[in-house]
Amino acid sequence: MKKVDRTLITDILSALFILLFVYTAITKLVERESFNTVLRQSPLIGTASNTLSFLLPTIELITALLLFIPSVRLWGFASSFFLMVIFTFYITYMILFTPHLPCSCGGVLAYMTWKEHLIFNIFFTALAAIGLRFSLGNKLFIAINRKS
Amino acid sequence: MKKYFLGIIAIIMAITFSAFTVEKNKASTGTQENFTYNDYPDDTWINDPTHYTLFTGTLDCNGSAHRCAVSANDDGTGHPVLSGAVIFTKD
Repeated sequence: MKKVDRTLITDILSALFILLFVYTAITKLVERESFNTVLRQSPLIGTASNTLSFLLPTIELITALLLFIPSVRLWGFASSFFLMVIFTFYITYMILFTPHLPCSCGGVLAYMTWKEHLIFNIFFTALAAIGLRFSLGNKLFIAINRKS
Repeated sequence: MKKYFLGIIAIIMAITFSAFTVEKNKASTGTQENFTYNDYPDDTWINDPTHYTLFTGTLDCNGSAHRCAVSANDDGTGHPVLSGAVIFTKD
């Protein structure tokens, strides 16, 4: 695939993740009490809910910032992939063990059922992997071109 | 500047969307509290705030069949504001 195509795809993917992370982070921070209450009910999180309700949106905003700056976009995709894998494992656990609890996701994502959310997360994990792969490819392409 | 274009559009869209979502979910006054549903397992009155009682402690809602409790803002009279409340269910 041409370098231009890769760059365009990584630009679109990074914009998509920026939209996702900034949106969910803002709603989590603004509705922090509600987010904290739901997290507190989760057997996996429990007492760490207070810290996590602040830490999680902060990490999402940092990830969005990394994706926004082209020179560090690779790290942004790595962080996105890592976050999506963690969220996917968390959702799988919730489906298996505590499906009665509501989702602690931000904004409209909270209206999804656990299964819809799992599909959504797997899809975005795949997108993050593609973004990571193409960003790595772009870095290699630039490095090879510099040498030749 | 061109390479930041899509990112800027994404940030503007995210802020706009979240502004609408937060406004929609924003309840009148007070802080987030837990309220147990008085008529469990009869779901007839789930939309009536007077059928909920303020509850402190860990909710015992395990299942998905009937309304058990909500986490919502207090409307100022000891009852929940049900729009935008987090819902808990029980078998």
